[in-house]
Amino acid sequence: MTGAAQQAPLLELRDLNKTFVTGWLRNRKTVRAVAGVDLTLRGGQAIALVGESGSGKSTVARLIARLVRPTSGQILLNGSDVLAAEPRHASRGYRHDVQMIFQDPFSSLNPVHTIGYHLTRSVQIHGTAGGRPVADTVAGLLEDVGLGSVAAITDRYPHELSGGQRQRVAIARTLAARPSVLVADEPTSMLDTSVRVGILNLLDDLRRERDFGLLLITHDLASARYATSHTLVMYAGQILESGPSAAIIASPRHPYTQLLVRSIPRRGTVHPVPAPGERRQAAAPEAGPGCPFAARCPSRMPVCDTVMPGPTRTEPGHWVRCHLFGPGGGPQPHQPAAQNDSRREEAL
Amino acid sequence: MPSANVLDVTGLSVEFPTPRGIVHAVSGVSFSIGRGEVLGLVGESGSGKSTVAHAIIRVLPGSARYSGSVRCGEQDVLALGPAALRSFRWQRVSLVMQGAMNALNPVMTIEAQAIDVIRAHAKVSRRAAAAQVPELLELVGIDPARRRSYPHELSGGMRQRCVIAIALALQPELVVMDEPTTALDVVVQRAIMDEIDRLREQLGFSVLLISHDLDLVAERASQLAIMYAGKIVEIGSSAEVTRSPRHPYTEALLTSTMSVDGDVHRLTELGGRPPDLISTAPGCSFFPRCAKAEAWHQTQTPQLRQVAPGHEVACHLYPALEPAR
Repeated sequence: MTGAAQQAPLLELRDLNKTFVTGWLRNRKTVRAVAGVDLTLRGGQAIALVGESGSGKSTVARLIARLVRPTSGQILLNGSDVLAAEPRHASRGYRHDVQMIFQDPFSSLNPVHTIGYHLTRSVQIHGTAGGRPVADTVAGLLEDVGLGSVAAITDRYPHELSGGQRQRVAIARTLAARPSVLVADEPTSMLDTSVRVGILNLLDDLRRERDFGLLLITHDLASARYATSHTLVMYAGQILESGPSAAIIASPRHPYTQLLVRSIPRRGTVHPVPAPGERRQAAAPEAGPGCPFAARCPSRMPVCDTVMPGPTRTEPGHWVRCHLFGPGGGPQPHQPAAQNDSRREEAL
Repeated sequence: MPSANVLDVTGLSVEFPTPRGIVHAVSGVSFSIGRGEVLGLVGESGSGKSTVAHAIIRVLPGSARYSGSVRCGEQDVLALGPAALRSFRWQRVSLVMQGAMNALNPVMTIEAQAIDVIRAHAKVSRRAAAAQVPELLELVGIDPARRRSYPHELSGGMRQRCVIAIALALQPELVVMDEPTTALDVVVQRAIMDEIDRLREQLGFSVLLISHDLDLVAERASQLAIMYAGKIVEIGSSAEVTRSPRHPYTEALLTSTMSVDGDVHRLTELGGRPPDLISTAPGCSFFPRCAKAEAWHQTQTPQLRQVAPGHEVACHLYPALEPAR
């Protein structure tokens, strides 16, 4: 939207997979939390990864942050294969470039340290003071996140701040590293609605000023539409639909995205919309080779159980993986192998 | 005066003594809920909405001090003794708490917990209570065969359905639902809310629906009350309050909420923080955050006044429709 499409890819995920193994011997289960995810983030771009709990969206965040190691696939930062260069741990350079904001700003800040200490540490570790006194850099960061006017903020402890202020501190801390990629995992879901907008506005302003790429991970389609230009919809570890954020919500193509959009509470509508499908929880759908949404899908066809379709382009920049729109670009390279995937057992 | 309402709350105040001073969590809250009606109570964290819920079912900590009245039909809830309270709870008013995962005991089966609740509040045999469980689960769309499941064996949505089933066990007239779907995904949230609507039509109970999510409540409730700093600042029909909000706080709530409809334009955050509830200074509690306030609003407390039929607002900006009551 902002000319970002012209910029070279900053961060790319290529066929990224993460399989967790749980249990012992006969109870051994594999859970494919992330199954063949492709994602491209360009400099200055804001994109959203939307999904319900258990969809694997937070695992994607953790993979990007290198907190967990992928089972297979590639992570490219500025075109170079990060995993090949640093297979075990992310280098310091990577950790400068890729920063994360978490959902709960209370647990991501240490309660026994002051705000000043948190930010001073970050500036020192990342060496971003640039010869100036560290305190000046810290003051500048607080100014940048809209906390400059809070009296004696550096001497305060996290519990003395409101949730919104704590999240601003967490954002300031990531800025201390001068990241080129910011991954925000549900940054507003613990905050009151009137505060949420302020945090998203701040991230948007900072992104424009500093030209970093923002990956917003959220369950809230309204936030995705508000704060990003492009949205990816994730379900059971796979991206089912990808397109401009406004189009995804105004004219969702995948039946799952349609269900999500239809489920959002809207003021001014009079109810009830009948709940789709069966009321009673069916047995956990067996994870087969087909579409993971097939068991819940109102448009299910026989082919849905056996073949996962590839991406089909519906409009420029908008694609969907659904048999309703054709078989997509040939067979999928990744064969789902999950069994008894408890994450899919979410009841309707 | 006998009331047709299921619940009448009049001038309810709740205070908590703390080392820092008395916290005025709820100050002079009044509302009524008619039979079969849904009243939505919306406010941010710390606004006192959960305290109202807890006062109605009398589960506040022992240190809490009450005044005002809560009447359920002929019963004065705040005056009930322990035995009367036991049968009042669940038989007349039940509570669905926030976060189903925390409301259920992890080491008891769903069936055992339902039996426990039934027998705690009604004189029935264990056998009779147990006989009720399959029907209750069926009511909320859970396979009765799963009654021997432990909470961890069920998904979040199913656990919340179980909590609702248990809340309906003794056919209460009113179910107080405090953030019933907050921890759930939107798809599950809609399914649960639809289920509640369906059950309400089938069984005829009333609902006090408490949430921070204005859109969710506005969609379900016929009446909407907005709470700020322990007081109701605006109350009226959902349609009226969301379509023509009067209180600047309600307006701010509506305009700061991201929507999936209409154009995307930059929204403004409501600045500032709610006031300290220890203070007893007079004046409008929204004064420091209000863009339309005039100096004298800081010293005079606005009272709820009718601005349109059935629509009351506590704000100095609006003259009363009729002479102030």
